[in-house]
Amino acid sequence: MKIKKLAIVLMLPILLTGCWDNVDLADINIVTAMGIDKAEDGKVIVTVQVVEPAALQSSSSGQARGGSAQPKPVFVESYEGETISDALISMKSIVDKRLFLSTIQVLILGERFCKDGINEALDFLHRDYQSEYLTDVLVAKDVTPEQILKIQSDMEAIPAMYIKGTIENTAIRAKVKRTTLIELFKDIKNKCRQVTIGQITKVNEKTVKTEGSAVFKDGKLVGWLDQYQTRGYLFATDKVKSTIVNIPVTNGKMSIEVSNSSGKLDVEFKNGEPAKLSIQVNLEGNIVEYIGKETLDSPGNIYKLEKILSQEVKKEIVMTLNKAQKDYSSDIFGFGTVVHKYHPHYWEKVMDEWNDVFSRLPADIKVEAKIRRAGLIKSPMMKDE
Amino acid sequence: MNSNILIILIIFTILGLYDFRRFIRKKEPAKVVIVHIIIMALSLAIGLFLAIGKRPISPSQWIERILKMTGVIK
Amino acid sequence: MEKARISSLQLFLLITGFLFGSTLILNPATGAKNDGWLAILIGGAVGTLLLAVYASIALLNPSKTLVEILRDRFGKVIGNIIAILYIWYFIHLASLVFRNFGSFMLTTTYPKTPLEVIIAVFALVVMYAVNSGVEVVGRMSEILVPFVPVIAVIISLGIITVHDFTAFLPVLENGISPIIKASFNLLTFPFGETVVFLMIFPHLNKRENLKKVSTLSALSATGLFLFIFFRDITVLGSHLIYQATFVPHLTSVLIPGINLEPLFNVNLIIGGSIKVVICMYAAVNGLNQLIGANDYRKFTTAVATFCFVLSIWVYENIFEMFDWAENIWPYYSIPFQIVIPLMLLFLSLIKKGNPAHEKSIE
Repeated sequence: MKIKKLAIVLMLPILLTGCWDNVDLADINIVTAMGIDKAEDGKVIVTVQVVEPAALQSSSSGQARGGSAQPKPVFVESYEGETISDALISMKSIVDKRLFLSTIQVLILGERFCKDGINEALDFLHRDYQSEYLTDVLVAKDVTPEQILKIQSDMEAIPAMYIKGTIENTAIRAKVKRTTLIELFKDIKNKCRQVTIGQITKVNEKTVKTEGSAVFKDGKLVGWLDQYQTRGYLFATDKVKSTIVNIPVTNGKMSIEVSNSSGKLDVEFKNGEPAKLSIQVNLEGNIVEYIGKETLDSPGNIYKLEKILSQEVKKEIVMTLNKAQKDYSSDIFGFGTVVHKYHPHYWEKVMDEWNDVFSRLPADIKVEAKIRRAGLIKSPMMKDE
Repeated sequence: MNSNILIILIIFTILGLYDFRRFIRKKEPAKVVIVHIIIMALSLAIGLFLAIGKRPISPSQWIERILKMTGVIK
Repeated sequence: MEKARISSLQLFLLITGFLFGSTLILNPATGAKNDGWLAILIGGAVGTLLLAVYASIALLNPSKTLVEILRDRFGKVIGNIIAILYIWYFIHLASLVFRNFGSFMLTTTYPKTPLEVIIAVFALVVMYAVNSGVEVVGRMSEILVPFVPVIAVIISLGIITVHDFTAFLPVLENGISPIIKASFNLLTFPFGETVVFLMIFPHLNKRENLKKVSTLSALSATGLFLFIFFRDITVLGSHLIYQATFVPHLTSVLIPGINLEPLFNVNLIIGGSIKVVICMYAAVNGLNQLIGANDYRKFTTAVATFCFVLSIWVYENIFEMFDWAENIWPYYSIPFQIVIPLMLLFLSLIKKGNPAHEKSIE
């Protein structure tokens, strides 16, 4: 009897080995990047970049052998459909295995698709259980997502990983707006803040560039910010972690690494109406390079440099704000959030035309810069004449 | 036709039959056996209807209708 | 009656786990958007009072279960009818929890597994727990329930980098009525559902602690709800909270680097299983006392089968489930959770004021 019971207990773990629909790794196509674009006739074009694990292995060992004809580590396929899910399902007629979407690293949206509104894509991605919420999203400028995904980089075997790497790098120097899927879900229906997404362009067959950002209004692409405007935007919205600001000095130039920055938005009210937008940025930096002649030893000199630095940063913010107000009429900064939180009654009235109100308001921008350290040397390398 | 429900119902029926065997051995009073049979039979009948895809109106819908009729909710 | 005894700590953990149960998946407080915390405060306060009412009923009718109290106070015929309704209510509640649990698992973790299979496997485990008795369930709660707050804190620490601490502003944006509605929903789900504990209270070994234990557990559950609400709203913002189907699940997948979703599922399984076990135990034991048999275990299989079938039968799709939980469940529950218990309390107090009568009953 005891043996019988033991046998049953020992057999039970067999039931615990897997899920209902256990699928082997060899039976799925691991998608590393997805592109979504629109065709001329309004149909959706979905592009996937799929890794071939076997080819990856042989390519790394093959290089040592000097390699003959190698299978490519990734393949890229596109398909048209009425909706994204339709295109993905129909794509099964040209790919051999089930597409596994949870491994997507980068999602690239086409320009035409964005101009028609990205809500459609977000609905599918939010509904689908396979979505990874921390996927990076980019908008391709002057190029289709398919062309971007077809590049072959020398730096990484998988282009998606290469693109993700460039986003991480560029985000550290605050030249691209890094947007994850979850941020889009949060803000796409939010009237308080308009969406911005990082921008990607193709340099040549091997390289892409992630710099700048795309500005949306009510879910539709309305324009672009270049890298400096993007940085101004990031300074104002407290998203700069570190960056290099170049400032002009007498007879030369200087690079300052911003190591610490905080931005704060506010809307001043007068008689129940918004009177002024205010942006307050405090930043700290270190001198990393100096091409000039004056020594930096006196606090007076440093004070002058701090003045110039804050002027430079302020210029970028002003430029961005002007663009957002005059050209795009889109509150990408999120001043609406402040109004909504602290003046809910006014917000209720103005909710639907907030972007217009935002565009009319004057702004007060304050930048306080501090320079803390100057590196290992006190005087510049350039000789005094 | 939903075979999963059928298989599960069969498992539960076997468990119920074990109970039944115990009742007979211990000579349980008739009311216990009757209640047991009623509940089991009711579950199996509804389960079979569900399995063949003919879903009877669910108690939730009944309750909803009753509440609507008495005017508690609109 | 079964002579099983549980300690005060075990009862505390059982009630907390029960309250926490499926509220993790379907939190009625989100109906009030940013003001959900107000709804939780109001619902929690009234819920604590409601639990105190249940505890008083149990104290006024020492070592009697709900079925016996109903018979004593309403007479045999009416008492039995109400008892049958209560047994139905407990079975219904158990199947609703089964269904919530199954739907959640299906949507987030096991998309290709049939709903029936998830529920059936769950039901088999629950049957085993119910047959093991209240003492075992109490000890199980000692091991498992402490995980619930611990996991909640782990998840919160994981997402501490993503936050907006003023996300709950503005206060009272949409006026007071959504808050009242949400807090009423929260009162009937989960606080009012603790009426099943009237079947468990007689097992407490130190009766004098009953009021303290039930109040404490209601308060700590409210505290945990508040904590989780603030965590979710600071991370997700009110728009997303309102839109998402399963809010805390969404929070748990946001943690960068690692996937803590399984931890969240563990949390859910603990709360959900305690809730189902308690409901099913109450239903089976109630049935047992109603018929006058000597052992509740005889009916476990039958009732579990019925719960399984009912849980499949009860809704056609997930929209019906959400609609029902929000719009119909509260009204359907009022008689069971508020009207009859208040009548019981009233009748018990009257009997108590007449000690001669009380003695003759004993």
